[in-house]
Amino acid sequence: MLPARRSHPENALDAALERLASGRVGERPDTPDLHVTALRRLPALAAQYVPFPKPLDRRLTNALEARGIKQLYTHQADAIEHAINGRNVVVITPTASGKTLCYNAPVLNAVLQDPSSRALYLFPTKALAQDQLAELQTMCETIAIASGDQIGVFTYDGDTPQDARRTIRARAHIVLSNPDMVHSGILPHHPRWAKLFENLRYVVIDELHAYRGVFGSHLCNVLRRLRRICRHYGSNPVFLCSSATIANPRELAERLTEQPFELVDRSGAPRGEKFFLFVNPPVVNHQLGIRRSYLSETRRIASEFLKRDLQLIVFAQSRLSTEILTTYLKDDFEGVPGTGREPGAAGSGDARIRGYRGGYLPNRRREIERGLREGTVRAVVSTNALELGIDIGALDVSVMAGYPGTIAATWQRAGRAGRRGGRSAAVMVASSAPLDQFVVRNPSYFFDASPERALIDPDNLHILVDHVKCAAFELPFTGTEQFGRDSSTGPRGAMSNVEGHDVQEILAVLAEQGLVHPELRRSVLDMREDSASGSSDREPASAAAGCPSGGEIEKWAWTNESYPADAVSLRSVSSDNFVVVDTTDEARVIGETDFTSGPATLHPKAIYIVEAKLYQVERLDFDGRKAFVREIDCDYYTDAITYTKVTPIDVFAEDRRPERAAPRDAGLARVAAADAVVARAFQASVRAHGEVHVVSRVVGFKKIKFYTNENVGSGDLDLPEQQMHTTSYWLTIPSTVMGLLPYASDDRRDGVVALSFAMRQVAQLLLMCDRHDVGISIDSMERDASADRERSPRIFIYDNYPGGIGFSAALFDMHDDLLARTRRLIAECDCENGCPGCVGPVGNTGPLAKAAALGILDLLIPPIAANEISRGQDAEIQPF
Amino acid sequence: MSSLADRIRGIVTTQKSVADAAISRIPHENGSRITNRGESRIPNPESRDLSALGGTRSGDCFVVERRWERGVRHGRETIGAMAECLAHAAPYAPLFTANALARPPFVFFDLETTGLNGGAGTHAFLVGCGSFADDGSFMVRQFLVTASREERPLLETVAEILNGAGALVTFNGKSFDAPLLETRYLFHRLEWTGGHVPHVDVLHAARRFWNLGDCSLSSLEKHVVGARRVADVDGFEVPARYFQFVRTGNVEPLVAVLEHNRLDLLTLAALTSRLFHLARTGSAEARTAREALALGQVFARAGMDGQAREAFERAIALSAAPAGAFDATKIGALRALAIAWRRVRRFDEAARCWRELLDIRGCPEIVAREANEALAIHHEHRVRDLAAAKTFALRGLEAAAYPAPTTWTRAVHHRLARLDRKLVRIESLKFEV
Repeated sequence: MLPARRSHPENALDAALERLASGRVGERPDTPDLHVTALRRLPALAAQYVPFPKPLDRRLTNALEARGIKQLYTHQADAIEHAINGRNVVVITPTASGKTLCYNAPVLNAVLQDPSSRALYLFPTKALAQDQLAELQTMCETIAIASGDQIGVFTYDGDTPQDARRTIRARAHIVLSNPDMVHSGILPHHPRWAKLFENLRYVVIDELHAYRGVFGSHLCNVLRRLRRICRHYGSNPVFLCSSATIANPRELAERLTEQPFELVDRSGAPRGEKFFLFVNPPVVNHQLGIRRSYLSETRRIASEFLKRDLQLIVFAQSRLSTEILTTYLKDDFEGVPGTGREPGAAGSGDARIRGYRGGYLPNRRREIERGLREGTVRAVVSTNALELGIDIGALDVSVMAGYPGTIAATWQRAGRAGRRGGRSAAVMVASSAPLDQFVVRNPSYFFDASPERALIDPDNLHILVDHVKCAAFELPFTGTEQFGRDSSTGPRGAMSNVEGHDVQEILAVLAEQGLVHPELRRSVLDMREDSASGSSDREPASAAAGCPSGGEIEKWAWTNESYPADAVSLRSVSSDNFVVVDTTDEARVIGETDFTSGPATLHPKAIYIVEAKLYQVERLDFDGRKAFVREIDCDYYTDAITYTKVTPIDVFAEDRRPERAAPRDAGLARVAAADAVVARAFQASVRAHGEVHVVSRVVGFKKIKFYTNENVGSGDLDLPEQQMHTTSYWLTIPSTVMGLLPYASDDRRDGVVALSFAMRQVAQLLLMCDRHDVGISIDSMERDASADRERSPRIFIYDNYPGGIGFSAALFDMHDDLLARTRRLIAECDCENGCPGCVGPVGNTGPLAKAAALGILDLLIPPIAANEISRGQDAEIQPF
Repeated sequence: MSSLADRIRGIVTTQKSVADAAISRIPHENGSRITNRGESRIPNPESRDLSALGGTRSGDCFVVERRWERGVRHGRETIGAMAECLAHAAPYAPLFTANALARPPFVFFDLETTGLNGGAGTHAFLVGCGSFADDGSFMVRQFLVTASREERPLLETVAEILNGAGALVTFNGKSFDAPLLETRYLFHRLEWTGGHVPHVDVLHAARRFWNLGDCSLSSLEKHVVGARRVADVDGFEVPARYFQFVRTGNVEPLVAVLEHNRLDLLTLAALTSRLFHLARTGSAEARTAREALALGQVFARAGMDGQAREAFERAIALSAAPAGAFDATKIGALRALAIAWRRVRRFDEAARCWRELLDIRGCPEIVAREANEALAIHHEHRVRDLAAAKTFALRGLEAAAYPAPTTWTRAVHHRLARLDRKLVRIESLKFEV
């Protein structure tokens, strides 16, 4: 039980927790069947302090002391020491552990000791840069008052007025920007920034974990360009990174910057006691596996805290659910005594419960942030907009409506609650999505496993070629130059098994296209001069030039009028997009959708939803990339039916057994132990990854009623198909395995569909990626007419980005885990015949789909064999 | 062919189709088309035959020199006449540089670049510098980058020329040529001294003196200088022609580009000489009302009040419009003249101008409002005709068909109230008398 006699908020917190998980507060085992499936107590930690490191400038330490910082946490001191000694460092820190000082101190120290020093800060969002600007400016004012040293700190982003830019270039010691601006506004204009690049001592990358997938792959290339420019101006900056908890911070930092890194991951900051609860809304319909709405559950839980006057943040999964929850909570607290909002006392309650999401105007956001810090705002319902390091102070409770998708993000959101001295709580309320259900029923997956690895693939050919163009524009490549991960340091991460591409080969192709031109070396020219002299015909000379070898080329000059950075967007899959035009009154743009998802969301008659307003698409101008919509009042939404076909082009790796020789499994032992028929089938199953051609076409749509999810109609569509070359992982289920299933052929097919549904969810979990990052497709399973037997169906999980982004290779490596976790997800689900939490709702698959999917997995994953056998036959595995 | 190259090709070509479409529009000299494809062979720059350009190598630079003798005509004037004009009018140059100390030698300056987008990948491949020699001839030196390694020595040479200049004269150089060249100096870590030299941007003056719609150098050349070009290169073709030269070694597409650049410099010199000449001789030489008005504005800004008024009066006189008919230039000149008279406290003359303005049909409301206000003040304080003052004040308000600034309206109402008070007082005085 809880210790008695605590201060008010703690009593209130205890009472609320007691009410949610009655009688069990404290340590207890996980109980996946109950409403509260897990309750963990994270003990308080005391602060560990050390004095300021010696090399820190007195003016800086004085200023810190003036602001109440008399000593440092151990991790701050470690990070500062690495930075001052010129070592790249990545700091992993919980929220509110003083991470900004880890990089601000060495940067300010450098500027104080040599006023010509410069630093560049990169934040994933403009709002974070603004937040940091305020903090740095206060610090610099303190320094200026005490010692008279002026340090210029400026943000430089898309919002910076043109006339202010020159001043910033001249006066900024510290430039706060974002990768997009560096990519399109700073690097291509580097001569104007010569002063910065000549004296660039530090590059700070905040929220490192935000740079994964496509965005991270782009950033890596932007940093390659940045380092090239620095070399041109004779500087070699030290990288200071901070990251939320991910599995591989050092690896990510090293991959992104292609530099060796020191890791500081032991926090010396104090931490209050924290409780972490997992809540699974109760099942209301067992047969269909339908649970009570997680939003209602979140509302109930949030109310428990709110009525005890605890300050809380509620994280919702979408802008829409943010608004819904805000409305719910405001409604609930109308008339509840003691919360300041009596019925009729309009206004006062409004300020206590606020929504927060992208799309709010900056002023409103700042006001809410301030309200949270000052305690006047008691509850905020937010999208992930408040997950990153915006300063909102420390709150009592964090409630997550739905699993945030990754372990890292969950800890990040949970960290929004937590006072240094007192106790706090975090509650995760699972939705019925498979991922949520897996996590809530397997709490140890979350609490005990390491968080996700962040993956990037900077050598994705599409991304790489784009940035090689930008780099060639900025500074001519030499005939021997490499781009990133070159001869020098370049740690080869284990994340990618694709070798880096030869930039010279890319340049040769760019030259064919007239974008660059190879200029030959003088010595080579002289030689040719000799051989060509005396010849009046110019043909032989140019013929002799032929195709030059790398050694002969001095540099590749940019010979094009374009400004290549303009054509490359770091954030979206392609810079091509559809805009949504509302024609209800006068035409105005109300939204945009990236190119790949355009047809599925903006097909004619589709319902398009913005801030709970419904619009119907009247016309899709595919070539003009515009969708014309009109406001509509209806009780359904639409779901596109997309036909996708994946065709393998090139197999990078495949093997005939599901297990790679990981120490803990002994694949062959299992084979030996299993019965002979199964063994044959099992040996024929294939995991593979490679390059594929994806053709997708939206062929129709369903109308689905809100709340009841009834299918109330459908329609056919005729839209152009979209094609993409990308990479994919695929699983082949041998026809022999299919043949062993004791079901009719239709049910077997349902089983494959069900399996793919669950696999996709698990893949997303393992890859730490967004739902949109991977696509899924199943091979045609029609009977092979000639042989009159079933083919071996294949399940493709492909990278939803041209050229692939490294997920497929990772999935190939994680194949065992993927199958095992998929099996657990399905097997441990309470539903009878499938539900949205495992293999998909019953309506989508057949009644035997769940059983068939499990049957397939049981044949693919043989029972655990106890005895280890030698791994001498590993040679059979064809490594890439 | 490796499959990697094919994959890269696949990626690059889809992105490039649009750009190619633009390039294929450019016709080649001989009627064939300039293309990018199929020219992967690398020419030997040193053995390229540059003789068609008529230049020489000096050090690491390729320089083309041309001289126009004093007797040669460019449009209405001879080269010698231009040189003379400039020499005589040199003291007036600061009128066009916001009083920076512009003085001879004037260096006419024009770049040809590989694009208009700016950024580190946009290069100035040709720097043209023109100046008049003592014997009245016009000398153009053009520095061409035939390989990128030559850029640095070129910039060093050009820097010497610019440093020796008493003023730079360009066409749109303040916003284009100078910043672009500055970028190239910064790129090579060389000092850019161009920023310290007084800079006459003829485009700015041209907009005032000869507003010809697009105000391009070519239309100025046609209408102001009176010269005609044959077979000129369109500006947008210039980068493609240079890239063609770089890739094939064929110098032919550049011949016309260099000629284009030289003629631009010559026209620039002609325009400058016309501008400076007007400044020296005053408005009597102005050919159009517009020229006279612009000249008056130049004088007014320099504080040369007498010449300014003379120029405005000349502009009014040159206006072809009959009295009371709409003429924007005349309106501008009357207004400028009114203000100029007021500045020297010649209020009656100013009032005459304001009144004349109000008589013009279709006089813009904003000007009419200003005129009415000026006249109201004039009648209230100097003429002391309160009734007339009130009429003008009221007319000023009536004229406000589109919303006038509220502060202004408030001021007028304030004035009206005061006028009414004064009028009442006068009425009461009458009774007492």
